[in-house]
Amino acid sequence: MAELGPAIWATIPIFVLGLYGVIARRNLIRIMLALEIVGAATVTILGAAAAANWQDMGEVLGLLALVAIGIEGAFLVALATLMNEVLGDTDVILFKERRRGEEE
Amino acid sequence: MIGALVLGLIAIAQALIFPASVSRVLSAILLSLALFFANGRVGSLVGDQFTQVGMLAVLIPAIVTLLFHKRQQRHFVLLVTMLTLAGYLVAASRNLATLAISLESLALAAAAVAFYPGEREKMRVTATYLIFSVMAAVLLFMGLAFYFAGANTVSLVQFTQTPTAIVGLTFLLAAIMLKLAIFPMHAWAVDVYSLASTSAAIYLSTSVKAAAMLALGILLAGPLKFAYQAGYWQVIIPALVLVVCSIAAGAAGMARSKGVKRLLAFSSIAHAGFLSLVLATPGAFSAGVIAYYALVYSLSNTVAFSAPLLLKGEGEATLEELSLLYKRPLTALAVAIALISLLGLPPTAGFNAKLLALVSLFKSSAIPQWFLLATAIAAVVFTAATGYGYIKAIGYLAKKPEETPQPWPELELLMIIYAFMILLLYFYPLIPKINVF
Repeated sequence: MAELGPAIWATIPIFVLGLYGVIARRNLIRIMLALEIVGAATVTILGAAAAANWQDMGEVLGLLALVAIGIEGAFLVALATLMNEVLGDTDVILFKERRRGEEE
Repeated sequence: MIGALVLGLIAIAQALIFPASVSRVLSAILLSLALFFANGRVGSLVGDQFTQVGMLAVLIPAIVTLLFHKRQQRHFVLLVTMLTLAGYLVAASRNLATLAISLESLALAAAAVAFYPGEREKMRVTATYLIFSVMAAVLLFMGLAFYFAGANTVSLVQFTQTPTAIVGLTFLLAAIMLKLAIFPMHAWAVDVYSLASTSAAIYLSTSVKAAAMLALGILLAGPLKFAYQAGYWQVIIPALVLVVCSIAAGAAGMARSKGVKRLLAFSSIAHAGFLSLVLATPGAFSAGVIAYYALVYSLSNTVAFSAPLLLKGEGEATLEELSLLYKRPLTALAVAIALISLLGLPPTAGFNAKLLALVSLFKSSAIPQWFLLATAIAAVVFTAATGYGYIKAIGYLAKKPEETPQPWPELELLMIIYAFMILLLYFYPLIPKINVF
């Protein structure tokens, strides 16, 4: 991992923190924020890879990852807004339980 | 390849202009025509046999979704057209960066397709799909970053043996396994495929899954093969254990399923597991087996998923309701052939696909033979257990109902043609060659 320099030590805690958020949270907005934190770790690694290899490709890939994860994040925010308008909550587990209740 | 891309772009442009009633037919025609122009090379996009078979696997469910979705919406046609083109790009990618971009464009449009036709309860489907799709995207880009840092390239063949590159490959493999819904990250697939509207479920469980299968094939023909040759085969052992667990989870879920879509959702998990047995021997042969498996799975799953579309429109059909097809014997026969193919019995192409996956498993020279044997036995036993679900469904097809279903001749004709193709592929199996450079 020497190619990545100190970036790797900054990335691992960010990645783990984000992953914990994804698993532990049930609010869609918080899940989205946690996913964006994991995404930030990914972009950091891509940036470090670009610096290590001194190639434009790494920068392009970093930008691409940023855009892709950003769009998906925006999509989640839109969905959370819609969920809040329709159900009055953004809790995904509550949503699941309500639906089960409606079915019963 | 340029012709195929131009046709794809024309299909997208016309979907923006014409109403859904016209654009869905034009999209199906243009996307089908693109298959005939899938040859040659444009940058890192290559049109070889692997690409053509892969494109066909992506196209087969797209035709059903485009032509037979119940509530016509222009943006749905546009999204499915874009998704199909993205699936074509996945099949043609011969570079890790192109592959990642194609997979991500596929995932973004797929999340929107899951929301079709825009009802309140589809919000949960989209939220589930999006969360897992972002997770897969993060793993994919993380893998790409590590691979790029370690190997100094995103090419499929210029492999440099460094620990960073191997970590990257592991992340890439994990991302594709997440997209394939391999155990333990398989629950999302059940929720999405069984709760989404039938047209969207056909597309998501077949085309999008076939694209993920093709991505695995490309990875196997490229860096995974070199990592395996360099002695890093240990990476594959835990993956094979998860693969067997997937088949077991699929079989267990199928036994408890009462709805057709739910049964097929668990079936897709079991299939993703069986297909991934080829991981044991990365190389061009495994990639070819994956393309063949994807084509057969695509045909069988599309016909099987078309049954609830025929009987209940966009809603869920129970297994008992399959008995309505008794009054439409040819359609019932087509569905039975598809279910037998999904189970993997001769004389259907599903048998060849499963046999070739097992042949590929035993070609491995590095992994201990006892482990391969144990994996194969477990995979076959759990696949036999999935038979309970399929046979139960076939049993209902032979049960005389009181009601008569509404005929839908066009869809039924397409189902019969696809079923005939399943039989034909049994007698003429094709293992496409892949060109990597």
